[in-house]
Parts: sequence; C-alpha cells; structure tokens
Amino acid sequence: MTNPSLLILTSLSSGPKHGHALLLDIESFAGVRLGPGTLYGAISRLDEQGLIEPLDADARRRPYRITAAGATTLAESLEDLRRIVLTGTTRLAAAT
Amino acid sequence: MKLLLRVYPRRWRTRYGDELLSLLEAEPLTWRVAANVLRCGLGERLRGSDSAPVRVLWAWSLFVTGGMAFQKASEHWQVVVPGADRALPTAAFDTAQVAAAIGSVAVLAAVALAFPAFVRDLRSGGWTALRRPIVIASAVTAVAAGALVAVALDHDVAAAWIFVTSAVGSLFAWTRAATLAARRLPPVRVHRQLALTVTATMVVVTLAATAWFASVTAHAPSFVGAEQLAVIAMFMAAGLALAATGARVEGRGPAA
Repeated sequence: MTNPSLLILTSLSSGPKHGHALLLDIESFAGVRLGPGTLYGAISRLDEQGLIEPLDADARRRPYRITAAGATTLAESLEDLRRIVLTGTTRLAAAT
Repeated sequence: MKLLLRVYPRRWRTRYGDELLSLLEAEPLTWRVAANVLRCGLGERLRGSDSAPVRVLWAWSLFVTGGMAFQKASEHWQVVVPGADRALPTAAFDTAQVAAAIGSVAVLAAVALAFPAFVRDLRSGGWTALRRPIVIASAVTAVAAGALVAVALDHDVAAAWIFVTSAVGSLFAWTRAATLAARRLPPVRVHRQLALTVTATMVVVTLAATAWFASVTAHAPSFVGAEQLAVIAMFMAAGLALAATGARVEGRGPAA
C-alpha cells in the first residue's frame, strides 16, 4: 500500500472525515502535508478498492469512512510496518 | 481553479471534481499546489481506461511535433559536415526518415481500418457527440491553410508564426477528434498491433535522430540551437513516454 493510502486509512480509523479534515489530521499526526491531487488520487483508489466508502455529501464536502476491508488492510499494513520497525531498531541497536 | 481540474479525465471529474474543488478553495492556491494537481491529473489520465491505440495516437502527434522541429533544425546539415564524414549522419538521417514514414503508414492504416465503423457510428447518432471537436479541428485547419497561403504570397513572419501555431493546433485538434471517435468504436486487434509498430518506429526515430545529432554537432557544435533542441527533445520525449504507457497497457493484455 502506498503511503498516502496508509495515512488516509489511519486517519479514517478514528472516524469519518472529508478531504480538508483528512489533510489537517494527517498533518497533525504524521507531519506530512499531502497535496490535494495526491490526497484525492489516493481517495479515489481506496474508494475503487472498497477500502473506504463515501457518506452523504455535506454541500460539496463528502466525508469518507473506512470499511471493514479497509480496517483489515490497515491492520495488516501496520503489522508489516511494526515488524520492519522492530527489525530495524534491533539491528541498529546491535550495530552501535 | 475549475480550469485546473480540466486536466483530470471527465469521468474522474464527475465523481471527485466538486470535492477536490472545495478542497482547493479552502486554502490559497500556490504554485506547489497547482503543480501537484496538474501532476496527479495527468497521472489519472494515464491511469485511465484509454486503450493502447488511443494513447499511441496522442503520443504520435506529440512525436510528430518534435519531428517537424527536427526536420526544420536539420535543414542543410550537409553544409557543415565534410563530405568524407557524412556517412554516419546520412545513414542516421535516412533511418529516421524511413522509420517516420513507416510510422505514418501505420497510423494511416489504422485510420483506414477504423473508417467503416466510424461512418456507421456517425450514421447511428455519433455525429452529435463528435460534431464539436470536428468543427473545431476543421476551423483550426482552415486558419493554418490561410496562413500558409499568406506565407507563400509575401513571406510574412507573422503569418509564418500563425501557420506554425495553427498547424500544430490542427494536428492536436484532429487527434482529439480521432481519439474521441475511437473511444466510441469496438476494439480491433490489428489496431493494437499497429500501435506497437508505431511505438517501435518512434524508438528507432529517436535513436537515429540522436545519432545524427551527435555526428553533426561533432563538426558544428552550435548547428542545432539550444531552443530548437529543447523543443525537439521535449516533444519527442513526451511522445515516447506516452507511447511507453500505451505499450505497458498492451503488455497487460487486451484492455479494449
């Protein structure tokens, strides 16, 4: 999974959000400011894959929520990352 | 900002355009944001459902624009290369021309093969959808023809610029009309094979043009100006890159 997709799923795991709220939330927890095109490119792919789903639009702002498949995918991705972080941390500690 | 969104495919805009526009309006539009939207919009177009032949047709038009600039830049190159050293640039130049001719024949063959289905589509209501792009392309072509006549009559510089601009505009306008028409037609296997042939000729032309450029500039480093070279390289590289995405689509199997 690409990083923007992982960041979006992580953000939506705390509840539905529209595009601007996603940008602000991702910036707050990851320190990354996604470009609007990058954000909506990732949203459209996650939507196509059924990992997120749109809710009723509030004016032109449409909130999205994570689906069950999205939650499973996020859990698997985070587990992969956890293994990488653990391995990296262990090897780095042994090398220093 | 709405203009910026035009870079996205229509289907994508219909689904996500309003939301993205709302997001863009929420904050100042910086060049970085604009560049991000442009890049992602083009990415969506490349990711879209266009078949290999449609992509390669666009690629060919870009490439032909670069090719026309190459043709102009290479005029009278024999003057700067001594007779004893002309074998390599001559071979390279001839190879580029032959490959370009083969590519052109392949494009024309694809158009000819699609023509009966195109006529059937026009008769069964397709004209309504295609009228506007065809009228625009015809109008731009008429402007190019008028400018060409003006150039022929009194070698006017302004008319020459209008001719060059409208000729390129005409090429792209007809390409747009052709691709819109192609999207309405049933896929034909031979079109995909012709698209691969056109892509291969573009690769050959690029290699031959590069060899010609290297051998000529070895004798006359400034024979091709920096601006000319930039135009040639930009259009040829863009055409090749787009054709490569078409070949990649083809490699994944029959998309259309």
